[in-house]
Amino acid sequence: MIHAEEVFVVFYKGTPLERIALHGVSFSVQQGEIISVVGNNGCGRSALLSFLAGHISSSFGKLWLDKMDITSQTLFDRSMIFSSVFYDLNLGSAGNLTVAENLALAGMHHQPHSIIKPALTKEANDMFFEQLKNLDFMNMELLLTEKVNLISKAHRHVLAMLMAVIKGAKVLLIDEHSTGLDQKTAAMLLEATEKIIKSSGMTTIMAVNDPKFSLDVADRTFVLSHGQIVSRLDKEAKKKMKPEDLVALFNLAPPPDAAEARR
Amino acid sequence: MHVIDSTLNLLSLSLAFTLIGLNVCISSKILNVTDLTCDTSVTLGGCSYGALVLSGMNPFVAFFISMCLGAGAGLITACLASGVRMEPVLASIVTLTALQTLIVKLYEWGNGYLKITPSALSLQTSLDNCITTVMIVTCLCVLFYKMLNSEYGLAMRVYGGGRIISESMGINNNRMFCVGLMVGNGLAAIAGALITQTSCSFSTSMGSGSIVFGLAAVIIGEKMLNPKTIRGEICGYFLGALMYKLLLELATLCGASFGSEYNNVTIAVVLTFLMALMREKKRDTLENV
Repeated sequence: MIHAEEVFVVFYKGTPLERIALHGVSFSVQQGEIISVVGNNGCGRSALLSFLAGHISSSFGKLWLDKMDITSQTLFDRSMIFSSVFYDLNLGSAGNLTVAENLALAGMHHQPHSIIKPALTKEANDMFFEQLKNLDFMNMELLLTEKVNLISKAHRHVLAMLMAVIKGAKVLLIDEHSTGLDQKTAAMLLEATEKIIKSSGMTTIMAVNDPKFSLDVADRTFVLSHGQIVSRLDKEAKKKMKPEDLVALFNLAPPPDAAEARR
Repeated sequence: MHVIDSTLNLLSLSLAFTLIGLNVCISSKILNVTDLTCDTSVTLGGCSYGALVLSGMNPFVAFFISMCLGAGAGLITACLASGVRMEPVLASIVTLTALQTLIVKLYEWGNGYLKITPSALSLQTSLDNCITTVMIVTCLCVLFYKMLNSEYGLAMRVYGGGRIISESMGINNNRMFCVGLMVGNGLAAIAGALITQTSCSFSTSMGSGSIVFGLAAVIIGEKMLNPKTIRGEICGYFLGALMYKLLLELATLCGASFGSEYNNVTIAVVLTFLMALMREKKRDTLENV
């Protein structure tokens, strides 16, 4: 479904600060697949996800959606395909609106915004309430009329994921959303994440700091090092692995010089 | 009779300035950009309205045309900002400078000081004028309220929340910016036309400083009512405009007794005093997030 071909992302190209964030990354993702991307800090996980979402553009390489070349599409064009849940909260939901308004906004993504129809109706409000109640995440249904800026980080991430579901995004991109939360909340957030992904059947590409979650939930795992995918683990390979093995795997990844030499 | 007339005129002018409050609300609160086009839109609206009515046009058609001219001014600013990629402030200053020529031409066409005959407006007394103004402003405020509550208004507020999130919500940022400025400046132009109608005169500098007026209306209104809903905010703008206008009148009175050079300091002192009376007891750090 998504197919990336030899993608290079270079920051500050042509200046002394030049830094290659992605070094020829190629992969394919099938419809409904859950992919986890693991690696050390600075290995290019965030660059990969930001590139897919359209926040940064590639220097070389192609990105395909089915048969369509979407390499040159901007964030606006790609918003039909991708939804991002990043550690930067403001990329997932609008902070100056309430929770209900954000959900309503996601619902009107595909049609032109009407100037007559009110944005929030009683029915829609009730529907959102039910939806949040079914999800059962830290009493989130009580926060419908709260400004999103004032709710907790975990709530905002869940909101962003629900918005992706309502929007009907084809691919969900998750980048480190459980980082910076306390252990209990992080565990609950991951649980909710799994619930939302599995129930909606959305194709997901995620970078999560929890190696156990990466192994258990994902169908396949990419290990990234120095901007390259150094190994791909399928279901079989992952079955034999413990979380510690996974961490060891990307800690042992070759240093930049070796990576350079291989090209 | 004189007192009643001036009270009614004061009311009409405050209503007109409420519309400028709406302009400031759109640009600085909803879209989160600094737009100075407001000053020129007010002048443009006032001058075009005056000139057109003097040339014998139906006042309502003239209203409509001045509104379109104001919206056009907003469009120019928006195009400069999104097309040439100027800073919105700079773009609005460029528009302001360019349109001054048009305003002077309109002024010459209208033959300077205007005495609009009440029969041309079919408004015999200041009461008639006040009623018309109330009707027009109420209609516009209701439309504004409806627009902000609609899906489009929601999208507009997302634009103010951040360009990246609005784009990833499928909102065309450039178009939203254009529409926002056009609506805002259209409202400002109508305010200018209402001012011309109330004072029966127009000049090339009638709108200068109106953005300060609009901001004052918004801030005073917010401090007074501390509104939670959009409806409350709009009422707040009217109250704020009225208060500020009263303040100016007071300053003029003081000026009459002490000399006009005391006007400005009176305004500053009274405004500070008002703000001090209405200041918040507790500091809410998350208020402006």
